Amino acid sequence: MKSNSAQNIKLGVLIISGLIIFTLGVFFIGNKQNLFGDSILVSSVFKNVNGLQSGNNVRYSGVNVGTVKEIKFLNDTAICVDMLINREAGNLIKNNALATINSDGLVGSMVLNILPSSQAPSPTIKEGDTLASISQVATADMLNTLNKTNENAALLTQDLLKITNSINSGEGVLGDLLKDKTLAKNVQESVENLNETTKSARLGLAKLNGILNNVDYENSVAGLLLSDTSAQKSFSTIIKDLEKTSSQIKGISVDLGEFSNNLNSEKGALNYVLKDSSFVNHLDQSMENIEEATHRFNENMEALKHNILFRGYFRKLERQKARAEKEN
Amino acid sequence: MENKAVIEIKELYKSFGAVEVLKDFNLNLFEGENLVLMGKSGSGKSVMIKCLVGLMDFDRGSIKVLGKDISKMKQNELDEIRTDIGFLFQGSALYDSMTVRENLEFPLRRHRKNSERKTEELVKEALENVGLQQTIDLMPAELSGGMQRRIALARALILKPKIIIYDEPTTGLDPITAKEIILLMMNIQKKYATSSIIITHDVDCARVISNRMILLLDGKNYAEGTFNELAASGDPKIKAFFK
Amino acid sequence: MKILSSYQSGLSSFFLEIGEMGKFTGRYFRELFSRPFEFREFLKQCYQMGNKSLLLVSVTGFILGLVFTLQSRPTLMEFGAVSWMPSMISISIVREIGPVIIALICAGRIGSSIGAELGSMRVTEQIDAMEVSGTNPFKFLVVTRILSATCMLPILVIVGDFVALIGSAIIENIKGDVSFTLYFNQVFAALEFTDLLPATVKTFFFGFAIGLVGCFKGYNSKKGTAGVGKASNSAVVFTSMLLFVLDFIAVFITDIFYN
Repeated sequence: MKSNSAQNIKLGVLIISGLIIFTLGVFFIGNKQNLFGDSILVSSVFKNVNGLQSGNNVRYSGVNVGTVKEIKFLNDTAICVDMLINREAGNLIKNNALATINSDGLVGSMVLNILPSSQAPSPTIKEGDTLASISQVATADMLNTLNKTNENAALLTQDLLKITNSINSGEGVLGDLLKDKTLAKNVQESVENLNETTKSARLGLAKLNGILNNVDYENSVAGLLLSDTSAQKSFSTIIKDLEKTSSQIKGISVDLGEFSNNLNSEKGALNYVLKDSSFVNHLDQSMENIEEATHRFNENMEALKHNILFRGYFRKLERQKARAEKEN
Repeated sequence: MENKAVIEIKELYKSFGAVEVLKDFNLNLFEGENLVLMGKSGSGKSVMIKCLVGLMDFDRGSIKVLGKDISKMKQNELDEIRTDIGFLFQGSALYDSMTVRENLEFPLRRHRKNSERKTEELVKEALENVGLQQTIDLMPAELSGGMQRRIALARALILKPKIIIYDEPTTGLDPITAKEIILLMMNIQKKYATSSIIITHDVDCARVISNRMILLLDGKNYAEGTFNELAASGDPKIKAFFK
Repeated sequence: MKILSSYQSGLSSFFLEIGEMGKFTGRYFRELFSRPFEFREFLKQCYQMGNKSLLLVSVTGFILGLVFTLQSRPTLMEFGAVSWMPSMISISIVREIGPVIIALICAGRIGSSIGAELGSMRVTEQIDAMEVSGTNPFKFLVVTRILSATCMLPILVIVGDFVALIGSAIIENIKGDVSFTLYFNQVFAALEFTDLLPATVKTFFFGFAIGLVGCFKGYNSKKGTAGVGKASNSAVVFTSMLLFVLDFIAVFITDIFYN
């Protein structure tokens, strides 16, 4: 009898714990769906609900505040979504808030978001209110756009790749700049020269300064020179001549520039020789022809050696050659 | 002694498919007598007693127990009449998921609205009758074959039935234990004045216990009489039983 | 010709068995609603099936949750969706795997023990003895066992599901630094009534099937000890098959009603 009642107690414990787990499960699930709590029924009308289902979450500023209760067609373009919002949150939501349907992450289910309105304050929602809705880009659309963007990006990178490739292989000005070592060297040398020049210029200036400081204006030749007006005149003519000379030099250098430009462009025989690839080809061909001709000539000569008529002559030549070697 | 029939079986037929196990079987059990039923294996003894207690339907004939026709009974009437019949099964048939006490309490709880104390007393008394008081809290598996048989007897008796049916009470037991069981059966017979049907192969058992014997052959009661009458018979078929 | 006829007899014996089982079921319902009710035996069987299977079910459930989570983690990690683990595990355990696995375990544990017990009772004439002593053995043995299996299996499944989720939560806690609060928050966020209720209703049928087949096979077992072995064996085999059929039907019906 005793063991029997002990068994029944254990059985009772098992059954009750099973029921408690079940009830808790039901409670938590129901709690999530706002079946037991005090809630407010609010609705909103959409053109497209993007696969929203009853039971999906309703969020206000990102916090779960309720669930979608029912989705029904009003007419061919309007769908009414009823949602249950718990009263606590309902007391915070204004009736000019906006409802929108988004997806909960890329692979998530849909969520009905309520966005607080930034407009003038208005009363909180109450049972049966209808919230204004805004339609948002659905995930699919978003993905489409993303796809386009991706394609464009791919094209862009392809072009970029081409450009960098050609730069690397030394095509174009940029390529030249990057690749040409002599240019770089020249630039470096120029900079060095410049550096040296400025150094010596500074030294020169310092010396000049010293000289100028040492000049006794009144008692020296320099003073005389500087104060003598006739000397001044001749001095200025010298400078003028110098000026002339420099302008002539300038003219020459311009001419030289033009000449070199002409050289670079396709005018002139020299340029023709340097630049025309067909000329080079001709030249090449001619050289080949000459080579071939000499080769043939050689052959002919060889054949001649073996000819009966000329054999004697060639033997004689050989003999003379051998004799000369012996004498040596 | 032959005063009133407690069991009357008339023209009983029973067949399984094409095999006729019982054909035109007749039996009368009178109050206070020990009737021994002998027969070969497969001669239909077990089938007969199963029909008798309503475990099996029969094809034709009638069975009356305590004057009531069992084929016309409803289930609850049948259950009621069964409390007047004790049944000792061949293999004891103790409920092996229950202790000895629960085995004995089982019929009591179902048919007698007794107090716990009264039930306890009856269980003790039944165990005393078979001399196994110490086994009360053991499981049947912990008992020897002979003890199991005695407990089964105690269970068959616990409702104080008017009729007891013994299905081969001594098979599977050593001769000494078999003798003990037979003595026990006779004591009970005296104490409670029951009528019994004993099915057995055991000639010794039959000799000791029987008032009257029926030999069952080919589904019929072939011969009837006291042990001595039948044992003295010159019929070779009857002689075969007593070898 | 011989093969054909053997198929025919096999088929007809199959239908015979189904028919007999149908009759058996009908008798169960008739006897279920008629007095007297064997309440003590019912409680005893509930204890035998419920409490005695609890350890088995808990261990199985725990390991199920553990292994399931460990196995799913790498795949979900590949998709960067490890945070979906609680939802995925809870839905699959509560909806499908929990009920089916635990029912199968119970088919092995409860079904075979019913089959063997009733089979040996039949063989050793205990059922006859019960009937002769004026007790309806069908009511006492069959009705109580089927009913307690029907009542206890849902509880075992609920406990098993719960333990499986705890096992899963432990793995998530160790491997993914997910707190128990977060885990169960996600579990309850993912679960719907449409997951929990059909799955629970289904387990009543599972329990009924386990009890019914076990009792049927045992109650009608053939004579001899081989008959007992066959009864318990075929009880488990047939029950396991029946469980999947029932599960299919349940999922089918759920699908129709909720989609």
